[in-house]
Amino acid sequence: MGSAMDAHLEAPVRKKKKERYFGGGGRIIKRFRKEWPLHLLVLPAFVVTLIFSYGPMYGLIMAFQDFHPVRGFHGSPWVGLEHFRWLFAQPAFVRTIYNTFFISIFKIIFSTFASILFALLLNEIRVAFCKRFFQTIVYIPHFISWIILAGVMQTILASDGILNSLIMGLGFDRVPFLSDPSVFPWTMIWSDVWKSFGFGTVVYLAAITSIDPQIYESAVVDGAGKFRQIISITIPTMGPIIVLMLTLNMGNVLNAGFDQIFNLYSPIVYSTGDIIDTYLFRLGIQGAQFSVGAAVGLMRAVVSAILMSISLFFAYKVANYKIF
Amino acid sequence: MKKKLLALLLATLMIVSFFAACTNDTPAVDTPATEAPTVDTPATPGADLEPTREHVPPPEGDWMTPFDRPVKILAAAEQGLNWFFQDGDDINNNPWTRLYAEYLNVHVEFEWTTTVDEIETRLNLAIAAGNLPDVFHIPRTADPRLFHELQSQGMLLDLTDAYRNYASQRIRDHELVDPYTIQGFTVDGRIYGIPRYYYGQIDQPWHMWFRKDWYEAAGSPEIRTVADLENLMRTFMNDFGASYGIAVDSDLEWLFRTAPMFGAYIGNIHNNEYFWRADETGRLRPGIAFPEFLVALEYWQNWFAEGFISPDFMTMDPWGRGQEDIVNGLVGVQCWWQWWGWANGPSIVGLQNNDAYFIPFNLPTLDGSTPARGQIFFPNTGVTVASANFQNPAALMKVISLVDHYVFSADTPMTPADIDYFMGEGREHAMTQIFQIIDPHADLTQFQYVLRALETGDDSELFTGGMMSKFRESRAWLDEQDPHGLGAFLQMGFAGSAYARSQHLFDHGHIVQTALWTTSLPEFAAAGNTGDLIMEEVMQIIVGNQPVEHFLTVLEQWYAQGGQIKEDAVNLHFGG
Amino acid sequence: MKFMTRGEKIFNVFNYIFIGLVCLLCALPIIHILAVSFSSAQYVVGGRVSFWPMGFTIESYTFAFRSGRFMTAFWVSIQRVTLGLIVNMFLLVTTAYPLSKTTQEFSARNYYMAFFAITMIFGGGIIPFYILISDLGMLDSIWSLVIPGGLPVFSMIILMNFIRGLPKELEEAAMIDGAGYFSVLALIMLPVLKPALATVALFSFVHHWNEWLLGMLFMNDPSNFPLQTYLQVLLTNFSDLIRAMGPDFMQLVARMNERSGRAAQLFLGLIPILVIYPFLQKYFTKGLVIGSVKG
Repeated sequence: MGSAMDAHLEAPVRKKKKERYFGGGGRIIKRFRKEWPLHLLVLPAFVVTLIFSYGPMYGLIMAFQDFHPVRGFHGSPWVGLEHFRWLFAQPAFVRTIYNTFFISIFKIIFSTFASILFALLLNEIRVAFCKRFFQTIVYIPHFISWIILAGVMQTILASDGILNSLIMGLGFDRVPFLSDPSVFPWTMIWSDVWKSFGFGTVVYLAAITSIDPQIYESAVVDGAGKFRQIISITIPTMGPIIVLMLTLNMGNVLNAGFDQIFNLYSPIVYSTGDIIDTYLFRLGIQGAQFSVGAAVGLMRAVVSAILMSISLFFAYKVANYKIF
Repeated sequence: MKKKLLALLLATLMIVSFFAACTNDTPAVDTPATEAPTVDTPATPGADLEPTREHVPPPEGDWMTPFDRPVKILAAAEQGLNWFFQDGDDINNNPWTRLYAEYLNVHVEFEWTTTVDEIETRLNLAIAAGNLPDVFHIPRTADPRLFHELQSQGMLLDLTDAYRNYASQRIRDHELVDPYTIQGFTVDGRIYGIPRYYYGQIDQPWHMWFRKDWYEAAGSPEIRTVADLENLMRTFMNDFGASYGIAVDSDLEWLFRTAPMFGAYIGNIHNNEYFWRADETGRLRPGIAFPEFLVALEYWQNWFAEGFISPDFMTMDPWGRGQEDIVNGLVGVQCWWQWWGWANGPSIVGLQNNDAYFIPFNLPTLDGSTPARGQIFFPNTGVTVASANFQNPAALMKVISLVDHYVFSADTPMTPADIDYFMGEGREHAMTQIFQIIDPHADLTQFQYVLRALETGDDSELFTGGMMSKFRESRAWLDEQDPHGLGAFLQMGFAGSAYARSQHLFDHGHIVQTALWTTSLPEFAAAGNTGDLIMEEVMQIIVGNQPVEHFLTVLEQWYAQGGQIKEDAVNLHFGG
Repeated sequence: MKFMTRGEKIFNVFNYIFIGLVCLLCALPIIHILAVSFSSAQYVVGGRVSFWPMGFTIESYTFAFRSGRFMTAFWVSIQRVTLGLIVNMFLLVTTAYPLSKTTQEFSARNYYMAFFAITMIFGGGIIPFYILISDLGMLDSIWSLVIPGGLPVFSMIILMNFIRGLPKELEEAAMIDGAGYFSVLALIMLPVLKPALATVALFSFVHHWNEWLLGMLFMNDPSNFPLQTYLQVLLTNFSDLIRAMGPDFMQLVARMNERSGRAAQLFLGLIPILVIYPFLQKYFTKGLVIGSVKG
């Protein structure tokens, strides 16, 4: 009996594979005769990806040019690493890297935690209608633009707003949620968790519900209580998907949420709240910065690739999960 | 079984491609666009012919003479989604496109339109893909390099001859009013772009707006000095329940515009726009480098400490929460543009009372001897250019002249119905787009005519759509207390209106003009966003986290981080 | 679950209360938007509308339907989502299944996987993308919004991992009976993949419904804008407008500041999302169909 997302152990057969591929031609043909339906299945997606994802990839060279659309890719002068050098010479840019990591990583951690917790609690609700209703409600905020939410949040979080009135009613000092550099990143983090955790539960809930009910039944026979079942069955079987989602999120770690921060920040919290994207946006006010944008994009991609590789490696070494 | 499945797969593929074919045949939304406009007026010669993009020899005579053969202009423009066309009309078929065809035999078609936000991106994409439209507009906010790159790569058409021979005298006379603007688009004596100009410098000075009912209840005190202003703010807070003294937004623009009170001229730092003028040595420097700015900072810091500035000002989005506090009666003083009435009038009257709107006054000064000077920035709103492949620049000039004739000229015989047809609800903006060259005298003339008509009650002399609507709106407020009329009324409808106040400044020479007489310089691209630093540090100073002297260090950093590049560039191009 | 212990009962009560509270917190923005959409303009500009309409009016809704633009954009979005879902689901299934095989079964698997995974991270940017779409003649066509993102790699990896997690016996039994890859995929896999397919279908639906930038860049005429592109325009920041057009234009566009109008249209734009989710979630709760393993 397998359970959902069961980790698959694969013998690391790198050497053999190479031999298999570049060894005797007969083998390839033989393998192909057996595997052609699989190749055929992948073919449409392969073609689409090749044309539309790999086709435009030459645009990456923009990062090393002083690109201007009028001159195009052929006519724009090459500047090597100048844009990278320039960016890192800007003190205001360097701090955005730290801020981006900080805000983004805590967002990932907390919203993953909140999504899993909520999926588990929701799964305990047996009335199908309620379950569906609750799940629908919590995923709504994901679809509401930050431009709208920002207005509401500014009102709620103002120094005389609802939340501060509540806090002061309880005898605490008022919290400058949006105007104090030490508080601002956390305001961004928890408000984003609130907005996005409901949508995150979608995958976890699907994973939980695809766990074979027989496993629980046999656990009940063994006398395991509800809590025990969650600890020793549900969570371990969800392990791979949690790792998978975390790894995929690594690809996004340098997107700390432009729309949210852009609509809520102000110069007074730049020191902790300014992220790479908001910085680039303001840079663009000076005139379109194609090459600087491309340089940041490339840097971001490289960092994401490294982080994803690290998490893939650890998932495989430590937990034996093969994600890709 | 295998075969069956293969068949199934193929069938799916076929269905998908069938869908593809279908939807290709019937485009998602039908645009009844391109066909020649059907107007029930006698057809101009050749109107039944297909419009052509080939060169058509322009007729001799003035700009009003139509082409013998139909001419087509393929254009691109920004389009606001909220502009409403009449039933069945769209951007390619509306009163104006029909007018061009009827009157000049020129058929305008918009190859693409996009929103104001995306126009520059879209333009860059079209340029990169090598499909420039015949005629397009480079917005004022576009990359300052764009025009010069296009020109130097030979992608723009030399419009000099067409401009000299086929643009109306009215259009060419704009050069007399403002000779510098068109020079910005002239290379080696040849004109590559027709500037769109602006509605007039009278639009530009900001005013100190006071809430009328409070101000009058406080005895309508004369506000000549900054101390007077502070007293008024205190009165509003103590006697009328204002939570704080003066409205300040998160962009600090509302605050920076009060700087002329202290003799400082700052600019819109959040947009990276500085105000440049000569210091005693003659070198052009930004307003933040003058000692008067430190005086302003001193005052602002005190204002924050005394509660004149809201503790939440940094979250006051100028179009969101900042506006909320004003219409909710939390503050009674605001430094703002002349169009306050449109932005806040209906809301504040709806929520408070009929006398709760704000009225404009000139900014006071420290010594009170004269009002503070009005700041004038470079006001051009963009430039209309043609692709080097475009064959009929004369057609462009004729259309431009025709639009100007209809929108601004005093000798266009138009009935009120005509005006409504062409210009109702701001239609001329939506439809004429890149073909509208704005009369730099427009608002001044409008103000003079409308004010006179309101005083005499005789509207027979009003000759443009703008005049008619401003007159009607002002009357609507005066006669029926219709708050939607407050915009026009407060702008130009009475002796104390915003334009009347501005006129006073112009009449007495209380005006100061930035030396940077262009939107931006190509060198600025290398300077980065220098405004960031100023915004952040000035906020820290205002809230008292840093002393005022800290700004001297900031200024040094500003010069080191790109400010020097800017200052050198401004001096290179505009210095003595 | 007939016999609930006392502890379980208490847990259940608290669970309902807790989830109820969280839901309330999450429902606030939509309630706010609804309240705004039914309120008169001055109360909205004054920021006085929280969770109950003030100066009740349905004008925003009549406006949305009367203007025609909204309905046109809605229709474009429906077309886009339908075509997008068909293309996405087809490519997802045909890719995830072969890639769920081990390298022993499918020797080129790792190469394909790397080929797809790289596109999750690296991209060439919008300019070469636009040039490509333009050269292919796809500008202003709904296909430019559907085909380029035809294989959402993120979803593909999720789906692939679901397939790997399925009991091997399912497939093996069919293979022994002589079924090939195609029939295994169509007849054995698809039925048991329902929760996963519902998940990725939801992602595709949401993506196509919400994505707005490509619509803005690839559509020549705003009447071809999908709904979210159109709504994005309504949400445009005023300060951007002023920067672009100059303050003197603003008196003419001040009327755009109709926040109640855009709230109504935002809410209408959310309805399909609210409808589709409970519908798809039905499939989540089914779980694995054990009976499909051949005895």
